[in-house]
Amino acid sequence: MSLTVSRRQFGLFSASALLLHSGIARSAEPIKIGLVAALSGQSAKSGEGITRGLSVAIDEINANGGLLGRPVQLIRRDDESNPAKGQTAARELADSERVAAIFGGIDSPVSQAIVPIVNAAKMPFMGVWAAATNITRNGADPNYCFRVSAVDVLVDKRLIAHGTGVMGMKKPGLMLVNNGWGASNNAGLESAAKEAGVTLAGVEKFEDKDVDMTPQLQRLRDQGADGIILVGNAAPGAQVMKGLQRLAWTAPVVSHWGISGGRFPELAGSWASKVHFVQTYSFFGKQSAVGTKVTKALQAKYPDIKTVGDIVPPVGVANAYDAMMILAMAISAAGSTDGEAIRVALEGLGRYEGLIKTYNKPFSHTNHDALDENDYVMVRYNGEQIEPVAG
Amino acid sequence: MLVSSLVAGLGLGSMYGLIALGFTLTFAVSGTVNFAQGSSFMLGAVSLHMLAISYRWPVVLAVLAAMLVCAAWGLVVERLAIRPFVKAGSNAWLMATVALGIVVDNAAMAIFGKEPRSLPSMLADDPWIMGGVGIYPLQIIIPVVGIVLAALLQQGLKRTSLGLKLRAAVQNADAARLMGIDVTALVAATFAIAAVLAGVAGMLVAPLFNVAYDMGTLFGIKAFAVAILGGMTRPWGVVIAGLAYGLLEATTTALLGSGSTQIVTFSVVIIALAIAPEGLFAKRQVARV
Amino acid sequence: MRIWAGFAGLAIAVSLALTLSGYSAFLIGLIAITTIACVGLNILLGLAGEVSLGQAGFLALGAYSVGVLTTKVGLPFFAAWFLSIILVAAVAAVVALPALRVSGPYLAMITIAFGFIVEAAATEWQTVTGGSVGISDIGSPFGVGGTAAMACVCASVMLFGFSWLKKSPLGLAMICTAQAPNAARSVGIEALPVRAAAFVLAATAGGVAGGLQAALTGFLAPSSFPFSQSILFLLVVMVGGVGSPVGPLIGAFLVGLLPEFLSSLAEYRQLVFGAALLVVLWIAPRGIVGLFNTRQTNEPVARGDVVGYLRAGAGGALTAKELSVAFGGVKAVDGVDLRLQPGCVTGVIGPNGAGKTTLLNALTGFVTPNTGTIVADGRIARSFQTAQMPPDMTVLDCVRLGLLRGRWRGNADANFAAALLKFVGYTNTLSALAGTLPHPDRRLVEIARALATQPSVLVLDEPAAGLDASDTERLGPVLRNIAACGLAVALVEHDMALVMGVCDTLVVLDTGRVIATGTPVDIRSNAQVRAAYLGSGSTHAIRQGVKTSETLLNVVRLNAGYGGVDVLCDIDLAVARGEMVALIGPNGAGKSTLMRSLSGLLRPVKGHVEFDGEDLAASPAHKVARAGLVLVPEGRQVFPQLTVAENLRLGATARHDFTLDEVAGILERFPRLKPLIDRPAGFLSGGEQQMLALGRGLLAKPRLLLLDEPSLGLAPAVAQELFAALSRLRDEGLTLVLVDQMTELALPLADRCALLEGGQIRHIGTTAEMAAKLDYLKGDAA
Repeated sequence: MSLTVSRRQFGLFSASALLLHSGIARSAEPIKIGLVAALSGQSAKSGEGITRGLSVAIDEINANGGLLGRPVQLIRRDDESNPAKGQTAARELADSERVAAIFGGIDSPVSQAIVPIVNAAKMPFMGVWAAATNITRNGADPNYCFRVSAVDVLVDKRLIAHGTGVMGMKKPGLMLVNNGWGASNNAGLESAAKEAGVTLAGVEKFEDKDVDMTPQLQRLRDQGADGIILVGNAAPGAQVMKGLQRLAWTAPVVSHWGISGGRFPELAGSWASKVHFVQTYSFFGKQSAVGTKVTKALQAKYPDIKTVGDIVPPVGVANAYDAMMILAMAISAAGSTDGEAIRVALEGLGRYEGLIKTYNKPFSHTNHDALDENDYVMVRYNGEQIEPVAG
Repeated sequence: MLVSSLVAGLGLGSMYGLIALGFTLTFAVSGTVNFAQGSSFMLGAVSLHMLAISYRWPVVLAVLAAMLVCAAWGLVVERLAIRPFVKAGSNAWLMATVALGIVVDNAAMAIFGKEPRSLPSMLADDPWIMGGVGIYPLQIIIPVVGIVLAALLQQGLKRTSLGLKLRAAVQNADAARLMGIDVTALVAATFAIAAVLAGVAGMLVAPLFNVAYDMGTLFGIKAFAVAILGGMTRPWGVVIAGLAYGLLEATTTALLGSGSTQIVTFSVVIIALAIAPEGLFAKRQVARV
Repeated sequence: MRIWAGFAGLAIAVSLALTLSGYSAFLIGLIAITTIACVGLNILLGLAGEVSLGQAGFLALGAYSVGVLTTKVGLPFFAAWFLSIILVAAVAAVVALPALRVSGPYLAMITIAFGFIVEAAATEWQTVTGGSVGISDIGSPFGVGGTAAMACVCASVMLFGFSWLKKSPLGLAMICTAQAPNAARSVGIEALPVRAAAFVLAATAGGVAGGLQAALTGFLAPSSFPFSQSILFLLVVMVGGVGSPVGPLIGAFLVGLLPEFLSSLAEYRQLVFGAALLVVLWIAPRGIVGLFNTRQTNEPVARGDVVGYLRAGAGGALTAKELSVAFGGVKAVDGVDLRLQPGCVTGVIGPNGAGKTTLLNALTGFVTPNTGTIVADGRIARSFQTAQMPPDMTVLDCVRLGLLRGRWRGNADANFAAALLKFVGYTNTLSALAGTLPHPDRRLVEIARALATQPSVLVLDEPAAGLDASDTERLGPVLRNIAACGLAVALVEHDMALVMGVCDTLVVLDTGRVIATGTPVDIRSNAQVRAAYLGSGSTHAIRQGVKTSETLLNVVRLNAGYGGVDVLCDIDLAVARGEMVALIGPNGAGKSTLMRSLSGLLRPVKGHVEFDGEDLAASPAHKVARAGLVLVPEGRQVFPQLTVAENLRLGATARHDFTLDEVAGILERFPRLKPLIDRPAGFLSGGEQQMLALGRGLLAKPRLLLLDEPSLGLAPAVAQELFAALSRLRDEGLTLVLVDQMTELALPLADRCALLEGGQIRHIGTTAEMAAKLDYLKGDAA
């Protein structure tokens, strides 16, 4: 037993070592762009949206001759919403695949876990969804983490303002998903409420997979809430609406953008249109030239997109598209795929006419968030369509 | 508040009970725990959604077809993940059922799609308002169907000749074979029945809770807890344990908030097993040395 | 050799971790951490036989402790790691209290619940754990490569530790407690502390791994420890090989690297991963290590003074006074006085259900008597009616466990264990696994194990049951030798030749009471004993009814066996309609295998089983039964929780013309069953169960009835009653094939007799011819 097993053990070790090395030896011809996102599991749809936004942008870049004369290639890794898996994937992309930059997914804890790794590896990281504040504001200098997405603290100010203003809430109650994203907004909403002098009726949490929200809603109602501020994804968000319907409680609801990550109108039924929520971008309504171009490209590439309503989740697609384009500009400006050069280039970019808006100096050395509170639009569902609301 | 928790708890609890009944049935005849049972629950709901919504089959037909899909799935589990391992005297069926569950969940993701879908139903559209609380007709129907199915199963085991054969096979499979009972087929049939029970549960809750390819995982674990609490071998015990678990879950959420639900319910599971090691309703077995 | 190979592997792993890129080092670290956690799980699953689905919970506990202690308290890593390991061990000990009251799926559920509680608590206890935001910037003393190298060193220590533990007294005690709890108890092992040790060790390894994970990843969140992680850990152990020292390493490599190779599949990775696992499990249901059979074989030499050892412990007597044991109002033992004298063999006999085994259980502490006193000088050791052996343990280790008497430390001398085995007449290999032993050897090993505890009193429960005449004859002198060392021996036995031959005193029990005490000679002539137990003697009856010459069953060149080893070799046997054939032969000759092959329980077989013109060699058991070839199996095999009536009804499963009148007919034939018709069959005595099994078989309206050892374990009087019933069936024209050890009862009934030896039919002929040839029984014994 002794000898044979140990030989096998040795063999496995050396075989794996060879395999680990083989990644390094591969040709460096295309510029590789990494994505670490939830591709399976509860949040799989978000990963798909980001993939689509990135792919359409990369196709456009490659059709125009690529970057630095090299084609761009997307390398995707599934983090299964698990920070440890996300770390493994980020290290693999950085060390074996030698990607030029890494994009992040929906899960804030995964992005938070990756932050120290990319900063240590001098690897540009581009957040396109996870909104936790400390992903970009992480205290590192130089800081390699950038974001083209909402920042919770800013969104939360907007939610409080919209809820107490347009929707007339006096004592809103919070319904938050019980994960890092919910926690980030919990802090943001409480400080935003304090700043605005608004009293919160209470804070209730739900699990992503909870199927009955009536107990939490009833508790908020008992605490005197006259409106709901919702942070959560489409499926549990829809359950909140169904719960309200079941309680026959017609309180106004304002929501973070999570509910747009799935088929909220279908899931929430007739009460879906009652919710006002934040978007960075809407494919509905009159589109800019970029909007029309991207919509067409999406429809051509993905046959399941028949109407703009099928571009789900819109934020993931739009943020990813703009972020990829901004990164491409930076790589061109840097003239290399060196991480430090790209970072410096990103911090010094000028004007970019994008999908979400026209960016003017999207990043600086101290500001790594390309979007701010002026870039958020409040919208609501009208059937399957998203339409802006005043305020 | 109490009324709505009560209704929600009973509804969820009877669903846990139905899935758990499947656990106990297959455990009894094969001595194995089918950790892919949660996937049967998902498969019922997903098949119904695909047939009734995507292919626009009449609902009754779609329900029957979805039950067939579940039955076939039960047979597949038994054939691929149970039989080869039981035959080899290995307990790797535990991992094989988990692996098969992963495969079918991810296959469903590829075919059905990643996002949850809703299954509209007249029974879960217009709530009846009772004392400020709205209750969907389906919420009343669910526990009734659950309890009726459990009662039918119990009586079937007790009174029918198939039930007698099943009980014989549970106690001594070889001796049952010698009586001319096709135990292999019986075990396979039990897995099919168990899968159908879970599938029916999935179809029943689909209009309330939406349909998703990963909806079975958590339900499966909770149902396993219920099966264990019920004592693994007693149908009635399992149903009562299911209702108790559902009520505990709903009232904990209502009183303490959802963050405490898992802590409280799973702590209760541990404490209950510490007090009644064979489950709350198990019959004491006399062991002979 | 093995140690050097291990060091070489470690050196390579460490140097790779220190020199390769961050990703490779990180991966090596993760694999090492997985290995550590899974070595722990292997203690629980591989040695103690329990499944845990909460290992990620202990990992989380260890990781969070390190995270909190380093970032919030400011302790250096190693201090935090040390404290976290202690904390995890303490928590595991607390969880063990409820957890170890249960086993199997129940324990699995408790561990699942624990894992979920830890995950939820990590989310909710925000002030300490940072809630779902988690803890970041956890410092590590060495950086990624160094931490990975440290994890490799830890994993190696763990792997060697496991190898050591598996062979240590504690490890043996774990295996024995898991696989043969009664045997463990009989050699003085206390189950709860042993199981608790396994549980705490397993959890502690999880804690060690968790601390390393905190250092390696630098970031913790509740989602780092999902339930699926616990499943993955269990998978690692199962895929690698449960109980194998290197299993977790191999499993960790496979389960750790496979997803990396599949990572480019993105969202289809899980699908392919699940399918790949299924394939691995199909190919290697006992784990990858199980594919390579690598058993060590070194046979220690028998050395040591067995007689002196036994004498040193002997000399004490056992006195029981006014002993009563009642089960639910029924007195199984009722006011028994018993004295076991040093140096004497005391036989305890009586009909089935007389309370013999209950008496033994009371004497040995397995049952607490309701009233009465038991005073014993010295240790009491016992054997069991069905030998209790941990199947995966070697014969030698079984006996060493006896030498340890439940201690967790100590050096159980292998040479002396071998000497003990020699003393009881065991001649098979010492490294054989107990589960693979033939029946007579198990009996001997069990006696050797009991003797190893150095008892003053040895209690044997039917040691000759299932032994053939030659084995039984060899057992007699062994028992006398044991008594000659000064031990008080109690022997419960149905084999009258053995009892009468070796016992100094006999105690006869009936319905829980002592009805007679005395020397064998006294007892043999005691009228009360004859009526209650011994019976009248032979039931020889003149053959009536018809035997035809038409062949009903024709077995042609039948070969069958288990796991590729043929037990039966070219069996040819023809049975005529209405004939009764007796099959005899020594233990291990293949009699039961033949019965199982004919009845379809054993498939596949080679050759032909032609029954009434139909070849049943490929038919499964239920089809054979439906064809009218019905087996009444060895050991009765009634359905214990079904009533007598239900058992009988099941006999007629395959028939459509069944009427309730036939049940009445069976009750007519076996009047003992009449008052018991609504009782669960499990409550019936051995004799009654045998009648029920026979009646159940008859209700199938068999055209040929196979009977396997119907008299096994039956009191002589009951056996005679049974054979009288068989005689009636023969006279009614039923075709019968009978296997039985009681040749003196079986042979006179049969028309023909076949002698089976070594899987072959050595001789077949009329009973008269065979009686003359039966010197094989006597000859071997002499």
